Order: sequence, then C-alpha cells, then structure tokens
Amino acid sequence: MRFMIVDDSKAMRMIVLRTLRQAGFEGDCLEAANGAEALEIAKSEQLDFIISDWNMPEMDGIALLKALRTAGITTGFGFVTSESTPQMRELAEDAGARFVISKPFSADDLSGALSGAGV
Amino acid sequence: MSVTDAELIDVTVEAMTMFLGAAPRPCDRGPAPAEAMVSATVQLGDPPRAAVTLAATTPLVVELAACVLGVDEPHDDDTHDALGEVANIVAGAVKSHLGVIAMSLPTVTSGTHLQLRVPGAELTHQAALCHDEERLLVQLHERQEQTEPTARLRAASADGSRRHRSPASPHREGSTP
Repeated sequence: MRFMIVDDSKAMRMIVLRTLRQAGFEGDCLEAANGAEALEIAKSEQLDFIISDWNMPEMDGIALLKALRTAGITTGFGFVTSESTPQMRELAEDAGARFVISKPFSADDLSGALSGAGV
Repeated sequence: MSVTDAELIDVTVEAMTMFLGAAPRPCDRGPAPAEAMVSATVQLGDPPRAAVTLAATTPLVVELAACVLGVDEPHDDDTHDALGEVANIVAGAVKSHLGVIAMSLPTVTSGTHLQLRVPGAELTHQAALCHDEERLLVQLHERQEQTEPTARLRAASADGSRRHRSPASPHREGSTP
C-alpha cells in the first residue's frame, strides 16, 4: 500500500502514520503539508489512498479532493479532521470521500474506516 | 447550544493522551504567570464568536512534541505545532457544540506572563490539567449575543466596564504553525 498523509501539522502527520502502523498497515507513506502540495504529488506519484486534514492553509482538504477529481485522479480519499459537522460530512461524501474521522481517533477508528473504504 | 466543563475537560484529556500516550489529570491550577509557557488559540466563527486557548508549561509542550516525533529535543517550531494541533482538536469539538461553521488555524505564542484578551468576549469555561509536575490550562472565551446599541449602552452604564480580563491567559499574537 502507498498512502499519502496530508496535514499542515507535522505532529499530526506523525500521529496518523503511527496509527496506520499500529493498525497493521505497512508500506510506503508520502507526506504533504497542504492541499496544493498534495495535488502536485498526486499528479506525479502512484498512490493507493490519501488521508487528509480538512482545515489547512494554501488549499484545504475539500478543495484538494475536488481538484483531484477534476484532474481525473480517482485515488481513494478519507478525511481525518478535528471538525466534522453533519454538513461537512455531507459535503465530503458528495465530493467522493470514503470516510470522515474526527480527531482524536484510535487505531481501531482508522482501521475500521479504511476497511470500510475497501483498503 | 453550549459546551460543559466536563466536555471541555474530556476532549482536552483525549487530545493530550493521543500525543503523550498518557492521560493528564484534572488539577487545581494552570501555569503560574512567571513560568515559561506556550499558548495556542483557535477562534471559532466568522466573525469570531468564541476562542479556545490552551496554555501549557514549556516542558509539557516539549514532551508533547518529543513523544510524537520520537526525538529528545524537538525544535521550537515542532513544539508550537504540537500544542497548536491539540488546540485545533479541542476547538473542533467545541465548535460542534456552539453551532458555528468557521474555525481559524491555531495561533501560537510563548513566553511568560501571557494574557489573552478577546474584545467583547467573556471567559465562560476554564479547566486545569496536570501531567507529572507540568500544567495545562484550557479556556473558552465566548462573545455574548449582539444587543441593540441602546441596550448595550444601558448595560455598559449599569455594569461599568464591560471589558473582561482573565488571569493566566495568553496573548493572541504569535506564530501560526
């Protein structure tokens, strides 16, 4: 599996990576600090799944997801975010996100969400 | 809609535990003004209706970052980033209780004798947590519903000054991680 973790917080990217490992996912993992950086990486790298924050500078998570789909990139996508209102969940689902996990989260939460997303 | 003290404490403990791997415990006070501390603030609403602030003693913030990054001496940027992310998580949970949509990125600052002033807002919730000998204070400032100008003038003349100052709370200016 090849993941990309997108979050403006380096600490949170490390926590997501650590949680992925705890949940039993191995393999390569790329990182990006905002949506714009992630979009450039996604255009040039083969990825299996993208785990992204929502609220980020430069380009936020939902704008990233829409930009990916507009660019024809259909890589699976899930949000790990500190804010998850029903409206945001609906927006995420409409844009093609497979899940929205609220921070703080556990290895079980992430593992369950990825399993549900077919990963 | 509002948040309770218990909910504010619970989400702060959960967020801190995700970083530290151990749960901080409620205690009687946050950092003393003269202690070196780091504070992180996230504003909720557009225009801002509330602000969540975390202020922690510097060794606790260093430990937060060290635990996550797996290093002994994290860089200042990384310690600020770690506390900013904890504040982000707490604010995200509070946001759903307040029914607001917009949320700012965290603003982080460090020093001693830090004071937060949110014009027009009052300190509505506050809780202190301890981890070993280190301390953390979480605060929620909320603006009251906007009143008509006449009513506001009457309230001001009846109450005297409407400005509210909270003890041991951080200033808003600083770096954004």
